[in-house]
Amino acid sequence: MREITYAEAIREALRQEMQRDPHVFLMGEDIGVYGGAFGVTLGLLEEFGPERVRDTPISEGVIAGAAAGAALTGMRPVAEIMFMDFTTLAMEQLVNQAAKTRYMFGGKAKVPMVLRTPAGSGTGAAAQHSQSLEAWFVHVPGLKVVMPSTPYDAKGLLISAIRDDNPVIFVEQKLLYRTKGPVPEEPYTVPLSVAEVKRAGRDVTIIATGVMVVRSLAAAAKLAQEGIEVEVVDPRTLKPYDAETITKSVIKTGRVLIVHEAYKTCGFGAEIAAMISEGPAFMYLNAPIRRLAGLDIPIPYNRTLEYHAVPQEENIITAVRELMAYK
Amino acid sequence: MKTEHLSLSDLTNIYRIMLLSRKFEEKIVELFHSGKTRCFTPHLGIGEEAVSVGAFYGLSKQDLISPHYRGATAAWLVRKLPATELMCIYLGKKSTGLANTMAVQWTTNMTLNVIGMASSILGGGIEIAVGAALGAKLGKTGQVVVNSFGDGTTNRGNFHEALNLAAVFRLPIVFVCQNNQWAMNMRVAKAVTVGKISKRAVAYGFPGITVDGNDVLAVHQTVQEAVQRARDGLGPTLVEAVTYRMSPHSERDPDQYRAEAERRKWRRKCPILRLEATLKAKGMPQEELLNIQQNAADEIAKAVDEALSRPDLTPEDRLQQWSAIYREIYI
Repeated sequence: MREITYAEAIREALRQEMQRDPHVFLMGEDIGVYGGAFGVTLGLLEEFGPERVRDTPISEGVIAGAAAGAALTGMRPVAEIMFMDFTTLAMEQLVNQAAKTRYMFGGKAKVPMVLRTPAGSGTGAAAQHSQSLEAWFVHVPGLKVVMPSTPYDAKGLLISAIRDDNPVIFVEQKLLYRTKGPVPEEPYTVPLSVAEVKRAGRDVTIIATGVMVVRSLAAAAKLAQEGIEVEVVDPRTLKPYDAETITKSVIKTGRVLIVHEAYKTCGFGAEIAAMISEGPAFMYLNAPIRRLAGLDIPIPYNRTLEYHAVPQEENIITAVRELMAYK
Repeated sequence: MKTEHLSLSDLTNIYRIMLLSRKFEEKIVELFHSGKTRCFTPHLGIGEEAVSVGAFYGLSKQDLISPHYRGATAAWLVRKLPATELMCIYLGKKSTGLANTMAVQWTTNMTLNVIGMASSILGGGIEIAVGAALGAKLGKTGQVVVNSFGDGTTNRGNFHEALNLAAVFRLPIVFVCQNNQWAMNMRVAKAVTVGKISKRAVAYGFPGITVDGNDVLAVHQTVQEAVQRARDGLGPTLVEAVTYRMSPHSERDPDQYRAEAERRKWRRKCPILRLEATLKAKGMPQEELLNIQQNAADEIAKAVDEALSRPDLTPEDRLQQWSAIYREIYI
């Protein structure tokens, strides 16, 4: 199968959905000629014109709010917020409006919108252009949150998100944009709320999101040389998430490491740890549940400090070894 | 009052809807203070009927309306929702046409093309309305959106973002600022320095017009012209309708921050009395006016009786309602 990058996979999903459904349109800052801050929408303006690839003023609030309003009337907007940090300017519209509209209107309306936004550190962009704020959205009933880790998942999940009738926050990883992987040329969907076991193993379950899936798989390959077989589960959708696949894996391995880039305190990992503790897998644990997450600090500008602010492959290897010490 | 653009039957109908809204909301005051309602606190638009009715009357059924919370009663009545349905919400009774669990201003009914207040955090609704106008434009539906909000809301950041986006996209939308001169206890002059809120349209390069908000026909004509402009692809207009908040902010507001003299002055400018004078001047006999008034009072009394005769939401119903509505969090 041909290999394309994560960014190309996202662009292909957008292009194919726009070709399929005239209700799909794009809206965001510098998404036209510029192609978006990370070039994801490059070429779409030329193909679909300025009506459907709409550059907006610097107005994150109304980008999100107008996307919700257009969705209410039957359109399927895909809005882009240039950096996930900027979604803080759109929280009112996403949390109070898009998420609640259907509920407050007694099921008499739907909001089929997608909000795409790049997250994560590793680019030297510092404290206000590097955050991973997905847990903020996971907390809110009415929103769905998707976070792909491979080009294949990115395309299939984005197509599902666009076709979904709920507001979906689609979290893209800056560091993954240039990673390559096999992606079918034809449109296909990856179902929302279904986790995937990215690597099977018997000793430890790693539940990782986004770029941490890639780091966990690299760590797992090295650990295999020591005879430690790691199972890597990627939830892919963080809300509503697939508890069953995670639970099954934990029952098999009895050891859990949760890895995400977002801040540790009240991060997505806290939810997963709590879910495991409350559920049937708890009795199968051979070791305490372990979380590896971003430090509770603003992402530093200094590249060395930035590197140490979030989990890296060697941290994952160390944490797995520590878990294996429990017999 | 200019009346040339409306037939006598339209004038009569406008009068009837304003009366219905007034009598409905006066009844809500009574029911609320006698402990018969099942809601937090009503935010009523008594004395401001000319703005909602003037703005929303006479649109095509396909046009989307997105009313301010204060004035939602009149907006729903313009869209012919039976008063009983609205009354059920206030009284905690089973209604058929609306969400049972939400307040009147929040509920939406896309078959009536009414978008309820999308956020009770003011200003959000303007952005939703702008998005609806974008949907109409992209979908080439020919719809125009008429969105109303209060004077206080124009101080929110999202007012700026929304009006600017509507301007640069030349969207088919009319913004109606229902300036009732009070944002809770904040007098508009203390929160806005430009005098007329319509002047704010200058910042977006589209027309801003101030109109007497107690003159329903002036509101209607101004909004209709703006609607035509929007329909012709010429973009948005900001219409500021200056009225006065006769009601307290909400029925729990002791309303002790305003001079009684100010209220008295505005009571004399009652928009319903003004339209009544116009109708008389056009030759409508007194007995016909009384007849319309009596019919409106009867209709509201009947709505109350009918709503009261509907079953309460019992705990089981609440549970069912809850689980049914719970499913409505996601499709």
